[in-house]
Amino acid sequence: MNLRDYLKDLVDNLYTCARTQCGFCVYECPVRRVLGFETYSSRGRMHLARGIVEGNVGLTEKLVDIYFKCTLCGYCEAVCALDNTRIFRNVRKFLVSKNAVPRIHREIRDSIVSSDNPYSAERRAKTPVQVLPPRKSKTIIFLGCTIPISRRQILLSLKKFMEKSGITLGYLGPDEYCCGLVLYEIGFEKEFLEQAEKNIKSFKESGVERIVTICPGCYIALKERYSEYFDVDYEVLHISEYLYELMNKNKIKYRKLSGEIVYHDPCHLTRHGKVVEEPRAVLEWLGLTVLEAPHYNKYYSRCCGGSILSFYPDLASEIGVMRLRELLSTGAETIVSGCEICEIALDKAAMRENVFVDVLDIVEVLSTALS
Amino acid sequence: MDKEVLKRVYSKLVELLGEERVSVAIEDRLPYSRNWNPCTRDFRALPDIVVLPKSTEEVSQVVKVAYEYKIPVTPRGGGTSMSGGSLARGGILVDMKLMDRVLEVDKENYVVRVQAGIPILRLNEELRKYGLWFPYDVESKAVATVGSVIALRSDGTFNIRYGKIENHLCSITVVTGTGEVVELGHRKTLISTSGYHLHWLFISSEGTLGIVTEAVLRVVPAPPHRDIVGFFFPSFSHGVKALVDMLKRGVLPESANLQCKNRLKFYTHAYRAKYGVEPKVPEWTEAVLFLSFAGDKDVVDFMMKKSREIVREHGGEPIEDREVLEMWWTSKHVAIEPKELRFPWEKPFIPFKQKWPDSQRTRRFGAAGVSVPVGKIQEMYRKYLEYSSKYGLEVLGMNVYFQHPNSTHVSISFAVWVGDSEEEVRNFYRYLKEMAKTAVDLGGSMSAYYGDGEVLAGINVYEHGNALKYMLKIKEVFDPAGIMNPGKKFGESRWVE
Ligand SMILES: Cc1cc2nc3c(=O)[nH]c(=O)nc-3n(C[C@H](O)[C@H](O)[C@H](O)COP(=O)(O)OP(=O)(O)OC[C@H]3O[C@@H](n4cnc5c(N)ncnc54)[C@H](O)[C@@H]3O)c2cc1C
Ligand code: SF4
Ligand code: SF4
Repeated sequence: MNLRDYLKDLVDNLYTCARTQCGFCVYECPVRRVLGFETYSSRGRMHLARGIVEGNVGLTEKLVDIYFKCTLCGYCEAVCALDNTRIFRNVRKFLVSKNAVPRIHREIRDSIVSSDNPYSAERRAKTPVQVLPPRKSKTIIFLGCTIPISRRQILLSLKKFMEKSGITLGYLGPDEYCCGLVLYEIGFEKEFLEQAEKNIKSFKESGVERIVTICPGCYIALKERYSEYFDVDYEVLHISEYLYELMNKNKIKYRKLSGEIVYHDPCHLTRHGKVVEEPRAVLEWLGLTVLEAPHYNKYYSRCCGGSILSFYPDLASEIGVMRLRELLSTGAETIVSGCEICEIALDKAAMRENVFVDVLDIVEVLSTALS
Repeated sequence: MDKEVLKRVYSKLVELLGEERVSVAIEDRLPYSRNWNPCTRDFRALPDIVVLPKSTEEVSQVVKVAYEYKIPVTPRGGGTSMSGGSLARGGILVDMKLMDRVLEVDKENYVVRVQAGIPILRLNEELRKYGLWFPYDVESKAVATVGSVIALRSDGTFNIRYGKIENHLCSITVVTGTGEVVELGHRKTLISTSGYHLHWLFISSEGTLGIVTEAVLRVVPAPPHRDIVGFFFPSFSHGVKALVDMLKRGVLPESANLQCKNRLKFYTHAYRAKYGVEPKVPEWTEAVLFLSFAGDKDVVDFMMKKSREIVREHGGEPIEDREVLEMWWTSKHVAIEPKELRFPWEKPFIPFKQKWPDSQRTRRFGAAGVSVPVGKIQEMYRKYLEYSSKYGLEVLGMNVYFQHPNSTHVSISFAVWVGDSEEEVRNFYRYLKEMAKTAVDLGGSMSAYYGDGEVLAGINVYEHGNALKYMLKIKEVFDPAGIMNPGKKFGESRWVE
């Protein structure tokens, strides 16, 4: 199959861009901002995709690098009217089909396939049953891989939330599998579908009706990506949506907090998931003043580089530092986000810049209001 | 370019800028292969090398290498030129967008010094921190750079109040075609009678004299308030007369656009996206005039009221539907403006539904951008209908942009829909040529905001006659080897037969 077969109707998008050339997507693309060449912006990648379709561009190492360095943040999509990231994902799928994939991406695939997580961690590390014993329920928490492996403070906050509020979510423990979004984003469709099938089977067998996620990647995978291939009948909520619902119904007793924080929009939650207001509402509910990154917030928020942190740490770090500076320019001393990967990326950026700033998840903020 | 030469030039450039900022890879060259002028599906113009300088010194070193080997240099900002102005003909393409720093904000004197690769929108984000504004509003501001609006003398939304780039340009730093760095103009002032005003030569020079690397621009305090009005008129002449009368009587708009009914549709994309229908326009309407006013609220309110009175005296009727006005404004000006740069009523476009790509899914916007004396608008409009029909191009509409402070000197975009086929593209350029000549015949100019580029190169002798010879001499002074953006302004058009 050639790229045209993967893009199908999306080929028209390439020609629309070729006609338009408006460049709205160029300057702000986080990868272009670091690497300089337009190649790395959406317009550049649209040109190259057209080049592949028309047979003017070969599948070189450089081309592979260009497509995999995109963070899929979707800023370009918000300022355009085309299916930019869907195109880039399909180009990746095509590259995968030609075995044109960077080594690190293959290693991460192998890690998911063999250890059910992208970090080559032991499987038991990602099912922290000693903290969160498995429990059947119609509404479950889906933990994902990153929180139990690299951001355990969120897990502890979640546990505290459940204890203090008396609201207990179910948890599948060893029957929860890596959501596979990383595989989907890289273009390993077959392996992604295997993960999806395992999870859907688990959900069915456990009679799950509602799934709450903390990780926006899991949120998108379960909510949007699985349904591209399967009929699914469960509902998915990001933790911020879930908390918003509980607070609306007055189900949580908490102590009012005070002070200013700046909220960082995770690309997967905001732009891909369209969850924009709920996290802010929850934080305001808790008594906090939510500051906004100047100019770049909500649908026009800028990427923190988190999605490529495991693949291109240096590039990710440059992107993270740019975002950190924007967030800090508000004067806030605490950054709150709704994505553990963004939080890791921003923490790393703060370390690199040698600034002291708290980077917290909404769940962590909530838990401090419950003590 | 000869392979051996290319190799040598490449290694010299890498020595200067490092491997990360020089590329000969096809993957890095292809993204620069187009501009916004209509072309066929397979069109591409490739540079041999792309470089990303960060300072005047680096630009100078790059041009010195080009001068030594006599190879073309094409400066490029956002690449949205409508005349193929930043299409390379081999050689070195200089992407200016890493030169995007604001070097000085002189608040007391209302001037700023910037690197020329900064996009207009980015500059305004920075200026807003100081309560300042660079009121040069090209619709492509998200990527169009300061260097480009100098190199083209682009149109801006607010130019009936603030004027084109010459009204903002105090001085520039340029790298000439030999690589020499020269400061032109008058430091931080617009006012001087000393020497020749060589910085003005760089206005509309399209990179043919050298590369602008820094600019000192006058900026203004951001206005406290803005509002908009719109009017239907039975003809363009009615609309123009009303505006002339307003200016005479001291009603001074901040922006003025006069357009035909068809063009209105292009600017109500946001309205359609929201309501799914076209706004209502009275049967008898030929022209629609939109004005904005800015200043203290009471002043603005007074001007708005007065403008309504004057329009009524001239047979026009106000647009009562506020949504039409606001959505029009979204399409024309607000688009991508972040909240910090908007007044509360100014709405951005709906995310994921930007008008430009959305409107060009099957055909593209192609425009003849000319100027004619204001009394000739009606006649030029007739010619537009005639030529577009002659070449089988569907009318997209006309927009008259008032571009000179408090006067009715105009730039006009006569747009048509153009498909991708060779025949349609060829017909577009035939149409463009007739429009260009007619504009000159009517006492105007064939290019009002996009330079000559590759499109009007050669055709422009119709406008300039033997003056073109003198222009070439000026070019030789700045660019003795003829390497600066060759094929633009002079020589034969790549596009028009
Ligand atoms: C969606 C859209 C909307 C537009 N709206 C407007 C509008 O409202 N008004 C308007 O006038 N035009 C408009 N245009 C046309 C175009 O955007 C403008 O002409 C704009 O100023 C071009 O900027 P750029 O940075 O993209 O130019 P480029 O295409 O990069 O370059 C334009 C010319 O400037 C030269 N140049 C660039 N940088 C330098 C430099 N530093 N020194 C010397 N020469 C240089 C290039 O060689 C070229 O000749 C629009 C285009 C699009 C696609
Ligand atoms: S915003 Fe969309 S149409 Fe415009 S250049 Fe970028 S990808 Fe192309
Ligand atoms: S998704 Fe983000 S990184 Fe990728 S091209 Fe778009 S803006 Fe750039």
